[in-house]
Amino acid sequence: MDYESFLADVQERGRFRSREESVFVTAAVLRAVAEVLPVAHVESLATSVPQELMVYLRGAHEEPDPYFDSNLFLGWVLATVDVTGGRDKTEGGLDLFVAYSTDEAIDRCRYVFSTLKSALDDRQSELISIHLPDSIQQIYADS
Amino acid sequence: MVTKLDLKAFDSEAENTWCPGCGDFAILRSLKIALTELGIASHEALVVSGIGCGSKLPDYMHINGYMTIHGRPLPVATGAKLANPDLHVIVINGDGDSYGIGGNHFLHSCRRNPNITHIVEDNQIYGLTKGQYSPTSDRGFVTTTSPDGAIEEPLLPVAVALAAGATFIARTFAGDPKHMAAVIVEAIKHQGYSLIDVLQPCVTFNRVNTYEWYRERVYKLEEDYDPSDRDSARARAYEWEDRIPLGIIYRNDEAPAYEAQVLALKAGSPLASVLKLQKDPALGQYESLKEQFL
Ligand SMILES: Cc1ncc(C[n+]2csc(CCOP(=O)(O)OP(=O)(O)O)c2C)c(N)n1
Ligand code: SF4
Ligand SMILES: [Mg+2]
Repeated sequence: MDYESFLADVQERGRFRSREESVFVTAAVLRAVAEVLPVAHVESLATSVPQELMVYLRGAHEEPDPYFDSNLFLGWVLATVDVTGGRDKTEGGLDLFVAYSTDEAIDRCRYVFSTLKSALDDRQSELISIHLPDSIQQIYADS
Repeated sequence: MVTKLDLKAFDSEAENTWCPGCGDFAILRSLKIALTELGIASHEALVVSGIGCGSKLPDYMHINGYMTIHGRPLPVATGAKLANPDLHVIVINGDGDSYGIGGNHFLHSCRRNPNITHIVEDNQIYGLTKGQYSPTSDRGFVTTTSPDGAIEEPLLPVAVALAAGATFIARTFAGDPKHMAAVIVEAIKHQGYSLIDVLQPCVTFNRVNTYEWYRERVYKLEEDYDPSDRDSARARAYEWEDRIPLGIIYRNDEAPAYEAQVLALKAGSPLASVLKLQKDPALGQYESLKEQFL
């Protein structure tokens, strides 16, 4: 899959209004993946992931932080939510933004994971999956 | 004695109201890890906070906790430490609580040097009150109270602490929980006031200083960096914006803690004396305590 097809796929899944939004969300999710994927594994994805996106994964650490959890992973993605204008799914609660932002961040992980999985072979996909924090692993599996 | 297996011993049943993704979760976890690593049990420590999102932390731990009014945890913690020097006293509060309304206490704790660990959840914003700029907000930061961008230069906590005489000054990042836990361990072991300024993304109200923003700027101090060298520390203390150092920036292990110099404590812990007195009341002892403390 080439870069433009990858972005178009994420844009369609997320119904984002522009290509830029798709770039922004894709970058955030892949940067979060780079926090947990040991750098030694990154190059083995280069055959399937567009070079333009490998840049984000190459930010990986030699030894990922063992305490980096699902909450921190979502924190990386949440930064994209208001800038791109998430759909409001508020059903009450004290803070309108917070009420929908987490769901939106989870959905955004899903859009990028779905596209990523369609680009990777099974071995590559497994490599990413096993390094994800527990509940993110579940989101990946469901994508 | 707690073992590493007992991390859950610090879990509380209180409902957590932090936004998912908030850096405060990682701080909470790192503090629990640090305490278990040091073998400090819930009853041996006190966590004092103020008001703010981050200041809700004592509620989320099974530990002695005290939430003070806004900005006042340091003097309350100092009082607790003087009354019971055997207690590990940890202050945890936000940048507004610590450097804004509590700025005066911050300065004087630095020079007073009580044996207290001070962890600041520095998200460069007032989170609880829904997004006003704080003392550490960068110039130009647009919020509801700085609609044209913050006019002031930000306060640099590390530089201020160094100038005010703090004996242990560190910075860490909520996105690096292992590093954070290791720094907290060292800070608790330090015999004196220790400041840990934690870069803590607020995912809801600070849309500028995100995990990514910090990740692009932070770097860990080199292995051969000497934190006892004040001049090196001074140079690092002013690094901000493009490059932000993480780690123990300054430490002076020679300076005596405040309570080690309080004459009234030479006879031992006041709390221990009171407890002993309760068990075994002796009029002479009571009179001597009265003389010392009333
Ligand atoms: C005396 C007083 N003044 C003002 C307030 C309102 N107030 C509550 S929390 C807060 C700021 C909190 O910011 P910070 O300490 O950075 O904590 P955060 O919520 O960001 O974790 C303010 C101004 C108050 N509770 N008490
Ligand atoms: S408002 Fe900000 S600081 Fe407060 S809980 Fe939410 S993310 Fe954390
Ligand atoms: Mg704050």
